[in-house]
Amino acid sequence: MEFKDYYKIIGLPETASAKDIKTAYRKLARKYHPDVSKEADAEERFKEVGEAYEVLKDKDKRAEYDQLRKMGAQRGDGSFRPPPGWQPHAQSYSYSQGDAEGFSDFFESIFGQAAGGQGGFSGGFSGAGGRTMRRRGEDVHAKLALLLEEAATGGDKQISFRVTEAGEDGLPRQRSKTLNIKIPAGIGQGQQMRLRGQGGQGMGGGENGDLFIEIELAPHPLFSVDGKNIILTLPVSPSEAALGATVTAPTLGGDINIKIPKGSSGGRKLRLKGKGMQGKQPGDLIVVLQIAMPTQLSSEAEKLYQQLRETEHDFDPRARLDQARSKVTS
Amino acid sequence: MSSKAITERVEILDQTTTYSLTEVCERSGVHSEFIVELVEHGIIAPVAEQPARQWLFDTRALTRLRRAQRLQQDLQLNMPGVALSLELLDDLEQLRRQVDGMHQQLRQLLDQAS
Repeated sequence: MEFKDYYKIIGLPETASAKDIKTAYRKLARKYHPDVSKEADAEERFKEVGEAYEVLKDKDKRAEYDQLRKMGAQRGDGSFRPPPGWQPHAQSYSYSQGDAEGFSDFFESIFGQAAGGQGGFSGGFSGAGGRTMRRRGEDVHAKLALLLEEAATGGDKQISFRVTEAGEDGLPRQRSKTLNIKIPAGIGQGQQMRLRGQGGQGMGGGENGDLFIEIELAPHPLFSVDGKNIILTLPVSPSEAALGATVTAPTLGGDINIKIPKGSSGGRKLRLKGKGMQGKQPGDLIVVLQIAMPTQLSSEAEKLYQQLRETEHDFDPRARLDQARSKVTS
Repeated sequence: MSSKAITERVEILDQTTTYSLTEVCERSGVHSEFIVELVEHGIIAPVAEQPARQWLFDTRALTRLRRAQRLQQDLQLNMPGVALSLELLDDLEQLRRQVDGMHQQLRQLLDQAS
């Protein structure tokens, strides 16, 4: 078992005052709250901090832990085993949060197992008299991050989440559950999905809760998404833009050929019907042209451009700016 | 009860999937007073203006309620605090998406300039 250094977790020396511990805990709880933090391991850190505070805020538990920590620190390899003859504290503890979130094995080896009483609806689980109330299991809300390709084409995906179930003793336990799910094609950002009966376990013959999944699309290096439409910025050469061309462009369904109309300006939008997100009503692919220059012109190309400048001296690309300016000044 | 080998079919939800006040309470393990308070603070809203007994909520409200519940319990926030946090988190999320989009465009421009 790994020894948990609660002082390190909370970022304070073991001489820290109760007041400092409280302040540090509050700060860390805000920082790592899974609803607030974007850090990947936020949930784990939040639990760890909660567990550390559960021990350090209580004078007796802290004294007990301090004693163990001194012994644990002597082992040197970071591992921990309770000293021989160590009796987990008989006194039950209650969770500081309403959530029935389990603490680590390390915690339980020192302070004993959870003894029910999680507040909230704990009465719904089998009570002291063995009488069980009929109650529906709680819903579970999870987020699923998808790549744009996965969302566009759909397919099988694995999702892991935690559910509350009754243990053999009738007390609620959190268990991690993994499901394979089939994502339909063309799912969008923020789309909600449901899996009936995959949430928390119902008690006393009550129905199971549902699992709700919210889709979160990961940013894509090439495409951006606007509802069902997909936007691609496509670079073309000045000659392709001037003379028109057929060029290859990436789409979510693979490369396709796109016809660039003759005389296209930068920023021109081409709409390819049905090449966006798939689904019942497929979206479009919107291609925004961008004129790209070679980093270095050959002397021949430069000569040709000079020729072009002389031939095209009538063309004023900034005519609209001048019009706009004259409107402002007049 | 593990169903690792089976692929589950998901149900796509839209605005037409709604839940009554009683159903929301049951699904989330909260009292109706909590929901009334959330509505009064504008944290969630029923799909149509109606007396509380006829309120219907969409799935988004269900998810938001759970976030509000966690914030309130874990960080000991009061209702105005929950409301403010959720609004700021929404704004933050939107800005993050915008920044991501702009970064992507900027990268494409820079790639071409180099």
